[in-house]
Amino acid sequence: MSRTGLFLALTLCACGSTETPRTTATPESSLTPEEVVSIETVAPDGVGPGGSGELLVRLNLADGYHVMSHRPSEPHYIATRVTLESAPGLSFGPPRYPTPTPFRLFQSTIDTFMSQVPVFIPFNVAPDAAPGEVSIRGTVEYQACSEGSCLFPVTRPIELLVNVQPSP
Amino acid sequence: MGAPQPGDPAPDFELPRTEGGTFSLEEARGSWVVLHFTASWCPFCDAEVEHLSSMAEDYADRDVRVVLVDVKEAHEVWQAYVAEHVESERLVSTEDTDGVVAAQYAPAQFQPSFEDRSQVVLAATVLIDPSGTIRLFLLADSRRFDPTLAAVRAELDRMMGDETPG
Repeated sequence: MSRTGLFLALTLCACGSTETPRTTATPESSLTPEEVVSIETVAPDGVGPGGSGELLVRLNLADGYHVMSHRPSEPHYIATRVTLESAPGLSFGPPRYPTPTPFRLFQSTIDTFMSQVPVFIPFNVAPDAAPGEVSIRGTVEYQACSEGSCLFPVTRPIELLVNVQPSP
Repeated sequence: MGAPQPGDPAPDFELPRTEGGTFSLEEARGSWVVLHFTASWCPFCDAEVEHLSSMAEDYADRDVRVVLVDVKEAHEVWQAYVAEHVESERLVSTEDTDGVVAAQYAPAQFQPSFEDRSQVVLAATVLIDPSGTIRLFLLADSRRFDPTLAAVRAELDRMMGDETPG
C-alpha cells in the first residue's frame, strides 16, 4: 500500500555555534486511527424464530499496523473489543476472537492482531420474536500501532441488520 | 520539518504535576530538560518509561530534569499507572489532559492528515538546553525503536562535554 503510515523521523541537531544543524527527517503521510482499520459486518440472510446464527465483525488492518488483542499483554493496554447493544428478540453469546499474533517490542513480545481480524458473535432468536428486520447497534474499540509508534484509541459505531423470518 | 525543531525555542508551558503542584518549562531555565510525550496505553511509551526513570536518576546530579508529559488521559488512569510503573521520584510526571502542549510541539509537516495534532508527538523525546533551545527532537522511529533512549543519552553526554554520566 502506498500510505503505510509510519511515524518516521530522527532529527538530530548539533546546535553548537561552529556546527551546522543536521536533519535527517523524512516526513511521511500516515493513517489516522479510522483509516488504519476498515470494518466489515456480515449477518445471516434470514433466521427464523427459535433459530440461531453468527454475526461477523471483521477488522481489516492496513499493512504495517497492528491492534492490541482482546486480551492485551498488559492491563493498561487497550483491548480490541466488539460490543453489541441488546436488540429485540435476539440474545448474543460472547464474541469469539482469533488467536493473537505476537509482536516483537524490543526485548519482549505483546499480543496483537494484524491483517484481518474476524470476530464472530453467536446469537439466538427468541421463539416468539416478531418477524422483520432487527437493527443491532454496537461499537468496536481498538488501539492501533505501526512498527514504531501508536495512535490514539478509538471507539467506532457499527450496525448490523438481522432479518427475522416469519414462522413456517 | 516545520517548527518546532532543533534550534528553535522550546514552546513554554505550565502543566499540573501528577503528585500535585505544577511544572513550568520557563521556570526550568538553567537546567537541561528531557521532555517525553507518553500515555499509559501506548506500548512503546510503556517500554521507555523504566529507562526514563533510570535517566532521571543517572543525570540528576548534572542538572538534567526528565519530564513525562501524559497526553489526553484521565488523571485517575495516569496516576494509577505512575504509581505502578514510575520507579524514580526524580522523574517528573505532568498531565496534558487536553493535549494542547503536545499539539504545540507537533512539527507542522508530520502527519498532516491528523486533525488532532497532539497525536503526532506520542513517544517523542525533546531535549532542551539550559537556555530553552531545542537541541534534539526525536520522534518515534519505526525502524530504530530503542526504548533505552541511547541516542538521547549520547547527545546529552556530547553536549555536556562528558561521555559518561555522573
